[in-house]
Amino acid sequence: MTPSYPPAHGLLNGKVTLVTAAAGAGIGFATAKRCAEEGATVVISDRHEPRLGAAADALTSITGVKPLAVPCDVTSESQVLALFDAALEAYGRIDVVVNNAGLGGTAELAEMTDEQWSTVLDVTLNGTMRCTRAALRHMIPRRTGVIVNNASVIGWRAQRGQAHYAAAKAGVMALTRCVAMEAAPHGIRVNAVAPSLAMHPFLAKVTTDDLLAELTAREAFGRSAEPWEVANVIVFLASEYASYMTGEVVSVSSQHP
Amino acid sequence: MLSAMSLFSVAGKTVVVTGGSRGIGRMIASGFVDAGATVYISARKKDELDAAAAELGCVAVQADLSTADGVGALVEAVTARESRLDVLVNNAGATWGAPLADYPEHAFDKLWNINVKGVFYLTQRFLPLLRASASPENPARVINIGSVDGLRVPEVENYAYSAAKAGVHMMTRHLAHRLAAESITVNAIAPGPFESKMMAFALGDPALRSAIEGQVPLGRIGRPDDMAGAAIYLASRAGAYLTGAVIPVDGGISTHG
Repeated sequence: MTPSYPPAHGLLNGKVTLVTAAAGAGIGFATAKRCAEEGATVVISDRHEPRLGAAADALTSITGVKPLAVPCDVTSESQVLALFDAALEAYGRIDVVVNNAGLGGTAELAEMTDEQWSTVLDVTLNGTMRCTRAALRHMIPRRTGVIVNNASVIGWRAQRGQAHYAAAKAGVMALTRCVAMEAAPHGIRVNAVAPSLAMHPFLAKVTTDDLLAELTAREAFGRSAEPWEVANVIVFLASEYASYMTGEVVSVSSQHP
Repeated sequence: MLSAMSLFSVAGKTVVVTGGSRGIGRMIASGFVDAGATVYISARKKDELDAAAAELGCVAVQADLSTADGVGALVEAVTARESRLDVLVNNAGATWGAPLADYPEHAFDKLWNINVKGVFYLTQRFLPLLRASASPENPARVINIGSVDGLRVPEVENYAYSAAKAGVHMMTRHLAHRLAAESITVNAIAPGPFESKMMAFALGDPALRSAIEGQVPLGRIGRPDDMAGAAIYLASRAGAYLTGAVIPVDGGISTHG
């Protein structure tokens, strides 16, 4: 049962939308593509510069509009600031920020090095914090804006070998809730999606068949999500249809604790 | 607000608003940003300009449009980033009040340069970018800000201003006639009293303010949405079949004749 790709409805017409880690095969690129299709002016960033250029070309050929593409490693505060400066210089404002950048890994804690722990936390949690902070510093004076963070159901559930990644994603959820309270008086919304299993070629490559079968069995639909199915929920949270939602972590799907 | 009204949509358009850091220009720039356009604003004073641009979500370009250098600086800054210009709002202007016997000659020079010559040469220099946007179905738009003082004789002694604004109205019609074949429309808005620095001296005084309100058939000073609405109408699909028009947005003041 393959779902059908949705037609565009202009949900993000004219919204300047920044998506981090948008050059891969997963949720980031799918989000940038769906946002562009919904009328957004898209800014994409990624740590991997050659792949970023390829992603920009791919988006241009799909949507007919070339996105601004800025290399950015979210573990570097100066690179995050440069990314926001480049977007503001080009378009004068940022209406939507999608914090998609994250880094996983598998290691049981007894064997885990400090470096393994820190690297996952720095990209996944600290990177989201840095981009959220930069976004708020721009959005608060304008009294408008939307932030959507990419969390994961692993922030809720127990899984061996994922202590660092799960702690980081649980952190993203807590960050989302707390910052939403600070941002709401300024007319800014902050929400997160928590994908369960969104399949793409990279994930297929790094996951064992057994684990994949086990994870798939947990899914209500008995299959993994297409990355664009998660992107659809991100688009919804970024759009005016979610005007009364903030501080929420939306499970995609069926694995809310 | 959900963006269902495609008839009045300006989402994704590229717009230049001169004198966009305050007053009527700021009202128009803010309206276009909220409607999803990418907006460039120009002004002479850098601090005020940068603050307004950050607050509204516009791109700032410092320029004194009463000079050829200023006109060139704005055109070059926009041309460096954009391959087309959809909407040019010629708003930058100045006024001068003095008794008839003392009315200074330099008032005429100043107001002619900024209110009339600046509008003409900026439009002339932006023609290549406007042509790149223009099509018979969706013309490029030039919107000049005239004044109700250029339509009927004002009570105040602003001789150079009323004459210059009448000049803007005639130039609007002349350019409209010339540029129609190229699918570039040229219209003017003739504002009545709005909250602007130009009006601050009068609107700050409660007695004078109520006297002004008393002269407005609709009984109030114009609000930002009144001005943004007229400009967005002229820039949208809804305003595509209009050129050479001078639209009073004045609460009915011009009905006094």
